Amino acid sequence: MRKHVSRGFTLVELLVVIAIIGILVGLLLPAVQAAREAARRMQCSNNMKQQALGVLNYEAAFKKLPSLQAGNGNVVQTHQRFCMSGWWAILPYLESNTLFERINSLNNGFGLEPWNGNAAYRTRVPWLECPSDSGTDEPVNAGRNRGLTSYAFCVGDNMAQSQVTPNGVEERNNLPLALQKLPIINRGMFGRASYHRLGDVRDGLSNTMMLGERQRPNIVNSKGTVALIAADPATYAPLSCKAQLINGREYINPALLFTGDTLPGYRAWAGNAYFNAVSTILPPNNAVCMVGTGSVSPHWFAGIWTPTSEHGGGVQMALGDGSVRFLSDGIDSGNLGAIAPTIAAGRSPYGVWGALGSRSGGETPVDYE
Amino acid sequence: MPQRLLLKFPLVLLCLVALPLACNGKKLPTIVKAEGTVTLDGTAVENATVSFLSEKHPYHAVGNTNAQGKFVMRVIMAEYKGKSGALPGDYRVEISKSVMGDKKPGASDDEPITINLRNELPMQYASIASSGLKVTVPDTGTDQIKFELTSK
Repeated sequence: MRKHVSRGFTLVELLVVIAIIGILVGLLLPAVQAAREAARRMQCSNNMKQQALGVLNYEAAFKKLPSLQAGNGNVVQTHQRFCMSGWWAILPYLESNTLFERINSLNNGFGLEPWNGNAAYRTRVPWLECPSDSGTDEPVNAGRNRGLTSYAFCVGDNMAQSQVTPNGVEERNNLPLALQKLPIINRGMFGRASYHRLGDVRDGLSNTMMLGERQRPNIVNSKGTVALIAADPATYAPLSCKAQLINGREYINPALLFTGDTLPGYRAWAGNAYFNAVSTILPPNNAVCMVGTGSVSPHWFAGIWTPTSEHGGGVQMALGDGSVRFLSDGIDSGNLGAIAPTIAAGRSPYGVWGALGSRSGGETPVDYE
Repeated sequence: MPQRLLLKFPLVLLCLVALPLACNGKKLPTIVKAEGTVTLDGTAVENATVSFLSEKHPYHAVGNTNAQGKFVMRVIMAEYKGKSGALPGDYRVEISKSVMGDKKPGASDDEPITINLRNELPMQYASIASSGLKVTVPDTGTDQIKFELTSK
């Protein structure tokens, strides 16, 4: 009798092979995801590089940096409400002159307030959108969508605001005050009606942050959304804002999140710090807080405008010299119990992070990477 | 025998994969139960935010009160994944209750709105600089922390 010779696979062998393939695929999948995010991050940093070049081209033309907030009119009356963003200012230097002209020709050339819902303000510009941010509709009310953005201008390590409030008088309710169109000096490279010269950046262009990321939240309770804190900015410690964000992603008290009007990232052409400023107070990927009390219009008040992103572990920033770097969440941020400085020059209490943001802090450059 | 070898191979592979995965996690400081209540003039305060801020380490903790004024602290570091508890030790404490009042819409639909933002607890408790509140979380944990605030 011929001995039977088995030629095919046994069941055990087959299962073993399937198990091995399973393990290998399991190992590979996260790597694929990481590679996709790496590609998005690369495009994201490329956008930032373009913006930095746009800012420097603007400087080359005017011999000064663009203002965070500018435009005609004043914050009380019509026209552009003195509230157009730096993105608007650099449009002609990023081959988007058509949109710039279109925005300025609105209302027979008088201009419209940047929160107006006309088609020009709803225009989306590819170099303002980081592909890592998925939100395209304002999470509370898609009707509030304007131009989208994932980036912001660095205002330094102070609590930037968008209107002057001498002795608690809101500029938005006071025409004589609004007509003066006063500058708001920030400790960084940008501020309202503050057109700094490159020479004002005493700490050196390669040691000072120009642009940062403010992610566009795609759900309400996520990092990137703004918590409203009833406190006095003059006595408020950033540490207590930091404590608002739990597990790096959700706010401890969702009742504090401002959903009454447009969320950050959904109004690219408005110069409010709320939408288009980034501060170097809390290190990257922490809570964002607006701080004030009484009758407040949250888009106009002071706050801690922390950079956030979906890259994992940090955010990207552009330095004054136009180079783009990745910043780790773990960057030294000094004493977060200290009150944010209010004078234009002087050392930052917030360590290497604060020093990066201030244009004239007198800090020595340190290695942060 | 080849069949035996085939059987051993995945076992070896599994060990190679599982070992680094199991040993990957860095050791986090142990957290203990930290719970308590907040009252204002003897009445429980709902929806107040309690922050335990440490001067020695970055593991600050935060909690929110429920209708009975009871809060459960959680460490803010992402590594703890929102688990409840706090590191034993001394903290400075601040308590506030931010409330968004009535919205006042602008003149047109597009106009930004105004809200009445206020702290419903006495302002001094909202900042570690003025609250004077301190707490020590014991090594064994506690659910008996009491903050008895007074309005004057």
